[in-house]
Amino acid sequence: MSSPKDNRHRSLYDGSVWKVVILASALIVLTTSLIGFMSYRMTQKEVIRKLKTSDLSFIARSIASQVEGRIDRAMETSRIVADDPAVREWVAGGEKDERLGMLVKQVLASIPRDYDYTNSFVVSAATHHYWAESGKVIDTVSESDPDDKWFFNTIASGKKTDVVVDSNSARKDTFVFVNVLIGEPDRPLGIAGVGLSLKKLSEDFADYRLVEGSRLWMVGGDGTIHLSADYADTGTKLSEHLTAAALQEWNRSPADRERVFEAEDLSGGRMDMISYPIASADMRLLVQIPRSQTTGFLGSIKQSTTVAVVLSLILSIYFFTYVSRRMADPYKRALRLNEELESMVEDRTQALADKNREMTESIAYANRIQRSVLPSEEALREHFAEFLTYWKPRDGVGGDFYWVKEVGGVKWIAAGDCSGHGVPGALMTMLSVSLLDRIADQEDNASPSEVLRKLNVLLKETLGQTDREGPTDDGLDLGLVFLRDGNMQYAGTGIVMAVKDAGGLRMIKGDKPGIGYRRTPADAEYSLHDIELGDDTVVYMATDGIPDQNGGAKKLSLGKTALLEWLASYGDSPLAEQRNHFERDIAAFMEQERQRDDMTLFAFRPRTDDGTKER
Amino acid sequence: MGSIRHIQIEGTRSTPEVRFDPERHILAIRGQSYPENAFAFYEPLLKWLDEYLAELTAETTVEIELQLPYINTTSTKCFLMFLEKLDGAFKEGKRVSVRWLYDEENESELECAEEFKEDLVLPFEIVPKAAE
Repeated sequence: MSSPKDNRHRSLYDGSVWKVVILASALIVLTTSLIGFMSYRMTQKEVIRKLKTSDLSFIARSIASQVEGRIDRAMETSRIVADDPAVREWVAGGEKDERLGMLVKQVLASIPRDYDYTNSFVVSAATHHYWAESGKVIDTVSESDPDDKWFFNTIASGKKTDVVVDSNSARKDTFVFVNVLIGEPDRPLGIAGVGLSLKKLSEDFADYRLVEGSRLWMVGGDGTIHLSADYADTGTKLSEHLTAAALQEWNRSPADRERVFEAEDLSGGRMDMISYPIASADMRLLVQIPRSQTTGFLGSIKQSTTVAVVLSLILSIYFFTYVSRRMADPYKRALRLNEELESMVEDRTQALADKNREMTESIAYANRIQRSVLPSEEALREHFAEFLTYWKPRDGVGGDFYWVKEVGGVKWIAAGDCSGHGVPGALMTMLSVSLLDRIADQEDNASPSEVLRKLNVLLKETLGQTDREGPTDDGLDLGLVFLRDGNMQYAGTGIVMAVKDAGGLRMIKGDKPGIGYRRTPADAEYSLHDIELGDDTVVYMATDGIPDQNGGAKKLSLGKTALLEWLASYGDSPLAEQRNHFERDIAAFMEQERQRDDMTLFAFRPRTDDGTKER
Repeated sequence: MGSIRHIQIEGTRSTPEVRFDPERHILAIRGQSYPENAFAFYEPLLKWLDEYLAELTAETTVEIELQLPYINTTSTKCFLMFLEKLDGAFKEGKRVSVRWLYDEENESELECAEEFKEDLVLPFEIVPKAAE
C-alpha cells in the first residue's frame, strides 16, 4: 500500500471516530465532575445548616441546663436553710439560744460536708454576724465595707432569692453565692445561703468541648467571663478573646434568647457561635466552634467524592473508547475493503490498458498491411492524370478499399465497401481484393457487370453463403470502372458514382443487390453503364459512409445531394486541391460527431491515352 | 395473445427504442441503429416476431411504425429480414401495414425507406414527420 492511502485511511479514522470519542469523553468528564462537585456542595451546605439550626443549639441548651440545674439545686438548698424554723428562730432571737445555735451550726456544717458546696452561711440582719460552715462568726458585715455591699443590697432588694457570681482570679475559681432572705422579704431577719464553686463545672465544660479548637464561656452582662473551659479566661473580658466583629455580633444577641451567628476568630478562621441565656444566673453562654472542625469530615467526603469521580471517569472513558473502537471496526474494515477493491480496479485498469495497447499496436500494424494492398501513389500517378484519395477507416482498419489494376490494356478501377468495420471489415477487403485479382487474371471479362456477377458467385462460394440461411451473411458494395480505348464502362452496387465534365456533375445510379450476401441470388445480374469520356472528365466514387455521416446543426446524415453539391462546388480545380476542400468540409460538417462508418472518396481524371480525344 | 410478452427497450446512442405491444397490435421502432453487432440486437426481435405472427389471426390489424434516421449496413439487413417476415404474413392474408416517418431534411432516411419499400408488397406508407 502506498503512503497516501495510509494517510487518508488514518485521517478518515481520526477525523470521525476520534472526534466522537474525545467529545463524548469531555462530556463524561464535565457531567461526572459537575455531579461530584454539586453533591459535595450540597453535603457541605446541609452539614452547616444542621450545625447551625440543631447541633449548636443542642450543645448550648444541654450546657445551660447543667449550669442552671446546679444553680437551681443551690437555690433549693439555700431556701431550705433560710426557711428552717430553727434558723429563723435563732436569728430572730439574736443568735442567743444555745440549743437552736447548735442545730443551726450542725446544718451549716453538713451542707459542704454532705453536698458539693464550698461553703454555707447565715448572716444576721440584727447582729450583722456572718456565721460560716465552721460554726463560727468569721466576719461582721459593715455597710462601709465594699466587700459586704452585697448583704445590704440583698436585704434592701426585697427579692427572696439572689444569685451572685464572684470570680476569684487568685484562686482561679468562680463562686456562685445563692442568697435567700430569712423571714418575710419585707422584714428580712438576715440572709442564709450556700457558696458553689464552679471549678468542677468548668472541668465539665472541658468535656463538653466537642471538637478541637472549640471554646465555651459563661459571660456576665458586662462582658466578664465567669466561667470558661480554660481557667485562664476566667475573670477576663470577652473582648480579649473575640474580634471586634464577633464582639459586635455578641452584643447584638439578646440576653434572653439563643442566637447563632458566624464570625472570624482572631487568627482569621471561620467560627460558628451561639449565644444562649442562663436565666437563673443572669448570664449568657457563648459557644464557639471552628468551622474547619465541624466540617472537617467534609474534607474526607471531598476526597472520596473526587476518588469516585476519577474512578468513574476512567472506567467510562475506558469502556467508551473500547466500545467505540469496536464500533469503528466495521468502518475500518470497509475502508480496507475499499482499498482492496481500488487496488483490484487499478490492476484491471492496468491489464485493460495493456490489452488496449496491444490491440492498438496490432491494429496499427494491420493498417500498414491494409494500406499496402491499396494502390500506391506511384501506381496511381502512372495510371491517372490526376487522382484523389480520401481513405478513412473508422477503427484503424476497415471494410473500405479502392483498387486499380491494368489487364490486357484495360484499366480496372474499383471502390468497395465490405460489410463490417474494423478487423472483420478489413478481412473482407483482403478477400474481396484477392477475388477481384483472381477474376482479373481470367481472360474472359467482357465488362464490369460481368466481373460483379462473377465476384458475387465466388464470394458466396468462398464464404459458404449459397443458401439463404447460415451463420454468416457478409458481402460488399462495389463500383467498378473499365477504361479501354477511350471508352469507360461502369457497373456498381451501393457506391456513390458521379461523373463531372463540361456538362456538369451527374450521378450514376447503381444496382440494388449487394455482392455475396445470402439474399443476393447467385445469378444476380448488374447493369452496365457506358460513360462518355469528355475533356477533363473526372470520376468520383464514394462509399456510403460519407453520405451517411451525421453532422451539421441537426446532426442529420449528410446525404448524397449535399455530397454532390460539395463536389460540384470544387469546380475544375486540381484534384489535390479538391481533396483538401473535401477534407475541410467533411471535418467542419462532422464537428464533434463520431465517425459512423468507414469513409472513402476516390476520384480520378483519366490520362489522355485512356481517351479517344486529344488532350 | 396472452402468452406473448410486451417488448419495451429504451433507445441508446447506437440502438433504437423498441415498443412491441401485442395487445394493441402496434409495433414501433424509433431511432438510429448502428450497433457493432446488429444481429445480437435484432435476433430476439425477429424471434419474437415469428411467434407473434404465428398467433396472429386474419381479423387483427397490425400497425408497424418505423422512424429510423440512420441505420448501418448490418442493421439494414436485419430490417430487411424483419420486413420480409411481415410481408410474408401479409401475403398469407394478415392485415399488416407499415408506416415510416422520416425527417424531410434527411435525404438518406427517405432513400432508405424507399429502398425497403421497393422489395415489399405490404402497404408501406412513407410520411414526412412535418405532414403528420
